[in-house]
Amino acid sequence: MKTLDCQNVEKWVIEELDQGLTTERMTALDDHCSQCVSCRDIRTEMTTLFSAIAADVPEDPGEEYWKYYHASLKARLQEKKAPQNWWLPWRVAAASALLAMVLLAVTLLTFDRTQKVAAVPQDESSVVMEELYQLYGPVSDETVTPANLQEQALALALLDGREAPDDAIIGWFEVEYEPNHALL
Amino acid sequence: MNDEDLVREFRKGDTEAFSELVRRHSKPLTMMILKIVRDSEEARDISQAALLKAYESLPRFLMASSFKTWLYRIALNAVKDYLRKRKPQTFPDVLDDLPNRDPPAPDQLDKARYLERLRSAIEELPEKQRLTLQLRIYEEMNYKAIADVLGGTEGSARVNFFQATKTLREKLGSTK
Repeated sequence: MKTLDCQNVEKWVIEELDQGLTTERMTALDDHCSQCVSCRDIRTEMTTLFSAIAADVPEDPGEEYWKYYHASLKARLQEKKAPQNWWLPWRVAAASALLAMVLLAVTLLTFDRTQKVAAVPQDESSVVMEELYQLYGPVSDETVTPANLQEQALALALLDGREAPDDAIIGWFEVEYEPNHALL
Repeated sequence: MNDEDLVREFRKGDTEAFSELVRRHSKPLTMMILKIVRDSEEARDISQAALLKAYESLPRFLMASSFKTWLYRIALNAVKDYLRKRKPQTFPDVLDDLPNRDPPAPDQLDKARYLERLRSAIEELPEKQRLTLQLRIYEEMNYKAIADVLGGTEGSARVNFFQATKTLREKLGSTK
């Protein structure tokens, strides 16, 4: 048989009064309460509480109350028009609008992304070329050689105030001797 | 015809079907509200407001729960709003409820005082504990039904009921 300690008594008493206990638990609770005064008091207090709550119910307000209730409810209902299925076309319209917005958003986002991917290198390269142009004059596309790239690195380093990489400086002097170089 | 059939009929345009739903549910609904708010005028207002709301919202009712559960949920939301707005209530002298006007016997006085303290203690309970206790004891709703109308789970409804009764016993102690 399951034994019961004082800690669980209140829970079991509430269960007893609420939904009832199994015979086994009821016996355990009875046995415990017969020996433990404080738990017996808890059981008594809880029993009093449950019966007091259950007994404290307001009375039915009476026939007149209900007559007035139904008459006034009828009047209030008549003030309202019978509800139509007005929400159905609105729902369809809202769903269509939402779908259109989603499609538009997806299109715009996709468009933006491709633009950015294409635009970034172009922008950066045009800035570099602009800076080179200002420093060294025009450089045609055909003249872009590894040596040009070194020139660009050198120019950028100078612009940034950094120390230019050695191979860029060496490359720069080397290309001066190349007859096709546009900077000459 | 059951409630769900009446709802379907109402949706087809039969307004008399709603009148039948009102006839079936208005009194138990109002009495449930009255037991909680303890004011018959307020109970009438809340109950009628809930039925009007149901009337307007019935075309959108998905019938995921029974009509009764749905209606009680609407009404209990209105009750919650009312209880939040209401100032802490001072109850009418419970001695007025005693059967005769002769000086009450000590036992009656004790009972009246106990009742007064009980009502105040119930008012002070957290909202969900209070409503769970009242629906369980006054309406004899099972925990599943309580969870359906108040939200939450069956387990949480049990815990709320246990906590509410425990708190009340501790507050009222052995006074009767």
